Amino acid sequence: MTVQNDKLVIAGREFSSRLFVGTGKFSSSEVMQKAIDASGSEMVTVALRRVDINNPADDVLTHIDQKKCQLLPNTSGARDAKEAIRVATLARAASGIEWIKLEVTPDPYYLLPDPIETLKAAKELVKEGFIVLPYINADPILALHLQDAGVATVMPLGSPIGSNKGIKTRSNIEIIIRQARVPVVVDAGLGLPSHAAEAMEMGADAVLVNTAIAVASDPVAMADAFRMATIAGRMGKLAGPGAQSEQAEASSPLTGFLNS
Amino acid sequence: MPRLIINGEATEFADGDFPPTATSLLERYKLAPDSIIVEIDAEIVPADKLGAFTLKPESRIELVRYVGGG
Repeated sequence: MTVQNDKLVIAGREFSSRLFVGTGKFSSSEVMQKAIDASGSEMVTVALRRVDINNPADDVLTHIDQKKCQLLPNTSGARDAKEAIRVATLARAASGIEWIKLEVTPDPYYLLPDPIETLKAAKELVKEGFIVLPYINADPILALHLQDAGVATVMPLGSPIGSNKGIKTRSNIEIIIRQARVPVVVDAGLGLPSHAAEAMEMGADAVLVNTAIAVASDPVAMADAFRMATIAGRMGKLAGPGAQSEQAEASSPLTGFLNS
Repeated sequence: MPRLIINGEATEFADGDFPPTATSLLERYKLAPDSIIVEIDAEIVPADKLGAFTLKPESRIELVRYVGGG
């Protein structure tokens, strides 16, 4: 299989790009828009917040090409299932979009997702017809429970949101990938293009990156670097890597030396 | 003075200045209705129903919109 005809399918929608990008923390909407373009992404996350009525900000949706990109509203800020369901319901009412990145993070310091509330909300949202993409800790049993509940993907974290630390949960993500019946998206903590490549080489179906691109000195160049790294990692996985060995395996012939 | 609770904050209006409908409230704050989600007393009001939605004092109004996020 070549990377050209290698499509990711989530809930019946085909994606050519396996890099999902977030839209937070950019210095301006213009930079964000250029970075999304450079990333080649076809899945873009947004958040829902109260309007500051005395200082209404620019409408982020005017900067996202929804013909090319699937909009993925998130439930960030929700601390329990009830709040997450409320945000999801508002998001669907706002846009008619049934896709929802489910995140329930009661602890503001590490922003780690609450597994019990996430599962509870996922069950309810699936029942209400949402396409649910839950953000989870790299917990293989939780991933199985969520798949049984009917989620469209599972999105285990590499390390805490915005930490740029890379994949610190590798062994558990490997188990999740091995057991997965839905696409696995490594979300959160990917700080460098090499982290995205690592996730894809491990067999992840996609990666989600926001902070690493948005806070880079040159977000557009970083978006392009993540685009290439995601493709490189995926191609490396599809190409079938050679086995590891405990001892050296000579690359050059071991006969016909000139000194014999 | 009649009040509305807008995004959790009590907002008072002078007599005669109370916005009669949801649309007039959005106009008051120069908010384009197509980019805002309006929830009044825990009920989402679709954009095409805002003009006909009569506001009552003490209603709890949430005005939300999409912003950048990961």
